[in-house]
Amino acid sequence: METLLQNLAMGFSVLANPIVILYALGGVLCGVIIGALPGLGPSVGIAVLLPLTYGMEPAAGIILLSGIYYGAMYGGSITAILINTPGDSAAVMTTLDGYPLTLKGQAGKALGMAAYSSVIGGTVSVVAFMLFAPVIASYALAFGSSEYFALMILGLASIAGMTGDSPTKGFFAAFVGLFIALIGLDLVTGVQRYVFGNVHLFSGIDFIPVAMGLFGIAEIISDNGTGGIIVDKDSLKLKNLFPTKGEWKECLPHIGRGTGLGFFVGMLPGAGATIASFLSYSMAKKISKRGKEFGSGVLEGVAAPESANNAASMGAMIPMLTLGVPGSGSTAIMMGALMMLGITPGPSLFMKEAEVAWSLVASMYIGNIFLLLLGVLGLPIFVRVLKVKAPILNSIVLAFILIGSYALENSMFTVGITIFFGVIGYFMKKVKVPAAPMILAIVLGYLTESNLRQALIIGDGSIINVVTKPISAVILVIALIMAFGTPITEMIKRKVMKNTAV
Amino acid sequence: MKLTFKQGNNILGTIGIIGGIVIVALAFVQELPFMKNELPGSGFFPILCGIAISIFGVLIIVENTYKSRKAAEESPEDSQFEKNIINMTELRTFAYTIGISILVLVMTPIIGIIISIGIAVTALVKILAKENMKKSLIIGIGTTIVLYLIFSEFLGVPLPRSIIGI
Repeated sequence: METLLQNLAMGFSVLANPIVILYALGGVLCGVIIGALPGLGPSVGIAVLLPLTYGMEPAAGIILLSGIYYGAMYGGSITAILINTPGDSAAVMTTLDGYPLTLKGQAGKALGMAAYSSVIGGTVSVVAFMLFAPVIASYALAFGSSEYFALMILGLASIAGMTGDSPTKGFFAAFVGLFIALIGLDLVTGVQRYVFGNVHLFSGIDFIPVAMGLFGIAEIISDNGTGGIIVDKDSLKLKNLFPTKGEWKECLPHIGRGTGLGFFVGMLPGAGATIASFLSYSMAKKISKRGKEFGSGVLEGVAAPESANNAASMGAMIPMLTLGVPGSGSTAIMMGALMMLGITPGPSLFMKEAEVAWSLVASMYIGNIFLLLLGVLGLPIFVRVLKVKAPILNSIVLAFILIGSYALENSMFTVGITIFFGVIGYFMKKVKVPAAPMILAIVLGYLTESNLRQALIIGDGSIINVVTKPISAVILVIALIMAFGTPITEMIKRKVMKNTAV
Repeated sequence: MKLTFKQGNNILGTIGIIGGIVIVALAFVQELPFMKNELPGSGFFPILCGIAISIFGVLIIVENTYKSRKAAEESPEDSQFEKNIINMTELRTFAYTIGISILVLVMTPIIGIIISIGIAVTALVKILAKENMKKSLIIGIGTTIVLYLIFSEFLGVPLPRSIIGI
């Protein structure tokens, strides 16, 4: 413990330089802005601003980039809450309760809770990062294709918690999403599936343009009946941005669980913040006393996914720094940046480049403080956006969505996909088909298929070999409980009540 | 124009049934095998999805029939299933938003994305917000400049230019 604190002190000594502190602040600020732009997530932010680190001290460079990384994770929630357009994929779940809160005139409170839960999730994860990084990283490596398949099934089982009034429509949307995820080249055999010679479809359909269409464009089109969004001036006063004692009491357990879950899921290569936020929301909905109110604007529905996605972004640093295995697009670019700065991530990083590694850990603490300050102090500015007349705001948002979807792949085809799913999303809203299960299925569909097929190849074609591995079996049992736990419990309750009545 | 929630659900279910069948049929047309060498082939998941989509399409129609009948029995006048889901203001917004977005798609190769989006924002503000031409132009041009500065100058995204290079 003493060594740990000494190392941390060494890290903080690097941050004593005001210029380095400024880099951390600049990184977080840029990250928040980039994250808030529809379609642009942390990977784009890091990739675009990477050239700024040329010639910098390695510690300063990596502090700047990590600031962008966790700033963008929070920034994505701003547009998700204010205009129902997730800035990045990890903020999709935040729209479900964040935007209804905005419609109720509580945008300030929703944004405040997003900031607090992001910061709590991030800070607790940094402590966990320091204490458990090497141990946990070795467990993450025990995940093979069977375990990943089980994890994907767990993710898909969380759809049961997002189906709204009609589970039938929720699962219908999920299967459509699964199908969309399968379009493109089959990586196992190289065969074209539902591509019909269109080269743009070879790499499949990314879920970000789909999400921008289903959530953003569909929201622009539909009349929410309020004739614009009402911003209650009182809700923007600093004291009102702090949750009440009762709200903290309701939200803190979800933040705690979201942080733990997010941190663990973030460590698994390929899983990442998006899946962490889906799982955390679903778990919160299942556990919360107000589970049935989720989706109508409850603060717990913002706290759970926001804590998970920021915790996941910290968790994702573990395999990258300790094993040299980047778990996501963002950490892959970060790893490239580290190598560009002359630092090789891997098991010896914390010994050979102790100063850089520990200054990064220390910067995470400072970065989270900046995130909180920016989040709280910037709230009145963010919310002012809503004071713009709805049709004017919608026109500007549409422009950002169209150009943002172009910037994803530098292709007008992606813009076409966004518009197409905007139309689909509008009709889905009309007949009350939930969009979140479709997005989750697109995120998980391809991974589920490829991991199952790989696991079957390794397991001699036997599904028994896949599902009976210890870790897979445990995860699959949890998935079963998640999917069928509530209906079975309710069935038993009804039977008991019937018997009691008799 | 009238389309009730009940009719909308039936249309959704029917699209699901037909869509699922088309997905399965196309798997065979594209020769995507369900199983290959005793392992799932490239058609395994798509065929399962197609079948599931069709089944859920049927379930949506069945659920809709059952629930709408029940709702009609309980409160015939307040049944949400008989409410019109088409709102003319919304339909107008839909037509303009999607129409102008498609125009951006078509015009970009000719006049570039920045100018296309500038025109689109101006037109949408003029039509939907019913602002005067001067204000619409200011918002359109302002948005265009901000987008250009963020995406082209700051982020370095290679935006499609017009045929004359702007």
